[in-house]
Amino acid sequence: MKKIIHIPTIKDDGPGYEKILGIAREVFDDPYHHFDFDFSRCAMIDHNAVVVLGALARYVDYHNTQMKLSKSMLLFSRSLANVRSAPNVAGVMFLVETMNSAVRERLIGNNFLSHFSSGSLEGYPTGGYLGYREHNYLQDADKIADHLQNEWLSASKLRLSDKLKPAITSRILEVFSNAYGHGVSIQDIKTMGVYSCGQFNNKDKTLNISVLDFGPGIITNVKRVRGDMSNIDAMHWALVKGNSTRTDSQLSNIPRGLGLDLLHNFVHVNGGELRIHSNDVKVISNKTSGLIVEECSGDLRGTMVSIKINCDDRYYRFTSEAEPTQQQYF
Amino acid sequence: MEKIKVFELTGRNAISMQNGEKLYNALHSKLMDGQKIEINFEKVNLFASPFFNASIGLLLKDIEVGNLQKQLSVTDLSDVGRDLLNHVISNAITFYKNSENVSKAIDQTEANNNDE
Repeated sequence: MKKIIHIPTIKDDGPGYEKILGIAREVFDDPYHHFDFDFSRCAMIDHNAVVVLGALARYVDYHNTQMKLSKSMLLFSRSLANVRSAPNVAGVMFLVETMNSAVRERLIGNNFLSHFSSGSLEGYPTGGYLGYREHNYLQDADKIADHLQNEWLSASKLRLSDKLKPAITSRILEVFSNAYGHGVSIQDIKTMGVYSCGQFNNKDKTLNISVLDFGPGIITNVKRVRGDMSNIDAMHWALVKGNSTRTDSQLSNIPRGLGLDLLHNFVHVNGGELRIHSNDVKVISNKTSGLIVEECSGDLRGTMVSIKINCDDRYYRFTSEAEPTQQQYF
Repeated sequence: MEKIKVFELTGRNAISMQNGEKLYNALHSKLMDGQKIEINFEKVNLFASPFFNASIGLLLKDIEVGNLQKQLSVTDLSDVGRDLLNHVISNAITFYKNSENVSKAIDQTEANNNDE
């Protein structure tokens, strides 16, 4: 049976995250369908929604592939008749014909549609671009690092200083390390990878990235090792420097638990924003709100980390400069 | 003083636990023997905490931080890498101070989970 899902305007803000997680929940609850994503009510879509839509398409693909019926694809008008006449095709279709020009240009410009296209649209970027990426379920740290440094952060419209670029890369690598170490490596769906989408906002000179995995989620992982506690307490525990569920390696004697803390500090010093959605808890940290940990209406089967970074050196200091208590050993 | 070129162990990215283990294996027995070693990070550009956790962080299980500072010389490490290294060391000191209790608690919880 086919389901039509109307995508509203989704921005990189609180209501935007609620909307896209509501859509995710609808798909998670029953993925054994064909889904048409209709954009006729969508004026604009940001990176947070793009990464979820791409990951959802693969999620639906995975479940329907097991039924040998699947293929997520892009539907645009000239292939309409062919696709609709094909029986037993289950998957996701992004109805390009329903998109306004701004949405279409964004989803072409960030290379999203190219991942789901059975035909061809003009204007896809190549090489260095900020946009949608799918990363294999086998972590290749060098490949991700090279991609971030040489492609992602080398996009022509993004001008980062030599000082800020390695700092940003290092912190984004922490996000990927968490996604693989605590997500992909122990997920039930073995072949799902990590999904990311970057976006540069020229107006406020901010760099945004969302990274999503389909692992057990932070709350589930914490409860597995710490026992029964409230979901909010579990997230607070995960945010404390040095706390780790040790899911990233069987080696128990290695100190860890720095990734989220480093990321949080960096974003704080930078005046940016950190959002984490995992299971049914969300974290928001920015200058205005401080740190907020609260339950959210959607239950994300995995973890999505989104960060907003100011790309101006004026907002840059090393985290140790902001933490005078941090001892300098070397 | 012996010089270990990290680039020859890891390439230009010092990110993963696996690469961290390589550095740890190159250092551990020599430091335990009291040798002084220079670790040189020339041409290593990118860093993430799993690498330092599994290398320098793990060394602190067996070596006091004061001795590590005396025996280890860190050269050509970028500002980003040095900042991260100091965070990892600070975290590792706390970790090993508390590790016995925490590890036992986690192991017990996991054992309980497996029994259910």
